[in-house]
Amino acid sequence: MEVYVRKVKRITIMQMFVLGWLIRLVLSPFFRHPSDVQYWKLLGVITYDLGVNPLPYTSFYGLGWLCSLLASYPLYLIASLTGPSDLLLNLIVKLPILIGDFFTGVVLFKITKSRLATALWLFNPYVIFISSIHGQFDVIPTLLTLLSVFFLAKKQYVASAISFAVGLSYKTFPIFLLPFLLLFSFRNFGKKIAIKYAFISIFASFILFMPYFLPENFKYFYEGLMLDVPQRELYYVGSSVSYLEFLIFHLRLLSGYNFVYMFVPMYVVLIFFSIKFVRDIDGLNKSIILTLLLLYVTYSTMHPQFLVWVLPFLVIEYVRKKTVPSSLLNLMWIWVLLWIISWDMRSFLARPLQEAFSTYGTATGYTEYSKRLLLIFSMNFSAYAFACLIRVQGSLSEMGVFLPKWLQLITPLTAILAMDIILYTSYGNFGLVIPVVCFIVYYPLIVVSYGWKAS
Amino acid sequence: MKNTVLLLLCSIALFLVMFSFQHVPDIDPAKPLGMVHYVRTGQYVNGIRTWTITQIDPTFFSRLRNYTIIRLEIYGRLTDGNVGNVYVNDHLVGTATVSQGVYAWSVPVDFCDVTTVIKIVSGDWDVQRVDLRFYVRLSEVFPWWKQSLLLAVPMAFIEIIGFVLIARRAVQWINTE
Repeated sequence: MEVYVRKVKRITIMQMFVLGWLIRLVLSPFFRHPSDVQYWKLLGVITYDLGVNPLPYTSFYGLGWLCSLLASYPLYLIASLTGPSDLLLNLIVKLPILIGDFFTGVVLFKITKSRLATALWLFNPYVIFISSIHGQFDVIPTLLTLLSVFFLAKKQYVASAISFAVGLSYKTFPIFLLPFLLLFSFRNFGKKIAIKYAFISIFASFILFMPYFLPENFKYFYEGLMLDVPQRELYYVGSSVSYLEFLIFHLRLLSGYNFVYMFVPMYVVLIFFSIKFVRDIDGLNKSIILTLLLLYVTYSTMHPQFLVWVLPFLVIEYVRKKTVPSSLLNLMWIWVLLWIISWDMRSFLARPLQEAFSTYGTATGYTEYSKRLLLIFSMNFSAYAFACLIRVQGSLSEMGVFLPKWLQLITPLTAILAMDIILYTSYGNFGLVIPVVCFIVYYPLIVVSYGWKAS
Repeated sequence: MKNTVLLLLCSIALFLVMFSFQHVPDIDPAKPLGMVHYVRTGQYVNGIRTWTITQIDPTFFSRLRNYTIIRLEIYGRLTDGNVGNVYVNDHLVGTATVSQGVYAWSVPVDFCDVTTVIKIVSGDWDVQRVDLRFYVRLSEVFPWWKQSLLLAVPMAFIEIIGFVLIARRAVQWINTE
């Protein structure tokens, strides 16, 4: 055993990266999300086979992902002259994601100079799952946000602002982090630089979103904003609704769209406190973590890939400040594994394998049972994020807000218990057995992660 | 050097495995490819009601004209004993005579345009939703990129160079620590 431990310790950082890359490379062709990756392929077909402008078809995603996806396609096109391979296509559409994954590891290593931090990212089963198996691109905006922080720490504010804007062209979550980046610039480089930072990031974002304003692409805004959004059901209680949202809807505490009622005021308070709080990179990092966790617990839909956004920042926090217990990071993986179990994984297998492994023919995603499991796990994740939020908010005291420990503990526990009972009364016919099992399994995990040894 | 050899060997093995599997595509070219659909909220019809769809991709009516399939779906029950006539840009596409949940008709491509008006004339029809769907017969379309091989080949070449540069940059970054 000791020999193996010594061998593992001798692995160089370069070998770690090669291994991390190989794991992703080998998994990518054989798995894919049954609808997401299919949609990436559809965008390729629309653009390269039909020669149709793909912009009106990407109303859910920004220009960044479309460009990355289409840039990775030509290799496949040339290879397919010898005969098409859907397995190769699975790899090709995931290539930008894998590169993003790899570079996040590199930037994490640059920021922390820690092999542990790099390993926590490169060999994280959750990260590997989302990038190589699921095929979601959340890691790219995460990398760009991380780069933005990295460049800011290096006093390269132009590069930082541009990274931020490019990240925004993939997913919109970085917009919530802009006030903190500006605060950091203001405190460290002065008013002039902060204004320049704001101008460059807004201008670059505008340039990147401009193609959608062209008349031929205007459908994106017209159909999306004018017709689709106003008709959309706001009372969305789907399979992955957040914990607070669910509680509030079912207890009928609030009507309407609780993201507005819950996230916005708490976010404004966070910005207000951050004026004092964001002095250095650690403060900036913490404010990013808090914002993203706040988003998780209040946003109406929590998709599993969203967790990628916060993970590099949690890793930095853990390695630099040790204020995030490792149990918390590890337990997040457990949550994700539970989530994965609740999926019908046959549907994630690429077609040839699916047919070889499945005795039921083509798999069709969720069953009624797995939906119920998914709901439970998403709720518990949300509760978990909530506990994590409070835990990271050991910094609450740093901000001058102090909650007694017993209150910090009682609040998430009571809320989670109430949630599980409500959940199963509405969705299951198992009486109290499952909520009790949930209580026994999850709550100790949350309590441990919440951390008795609060800083 | 050892790392590079390992990467190369794994990549080659992976490529061999990928091409040795039987080809079963996620997007079946033999089936019509669902491209886009335009949904409008329904209204109760007692007389004439219209729904206007704008900004439809003009490619459907030009280059893809011969491969495009358009389908109109109306959701909502027609009251028994009534009749509902459905028009697309003033061309009659179908008549509903029985009460059912969904009514669907094929619409000739010539009837539609970038702006398309759907009109329903009926005495008593509670229309819940109007949905104009566009499909393309993918198998019949000669891939655009094959017509532009002179463009696709340099693009692939640039992509390979891009990967090499990215990899070099990554190695440099790691090694500078």
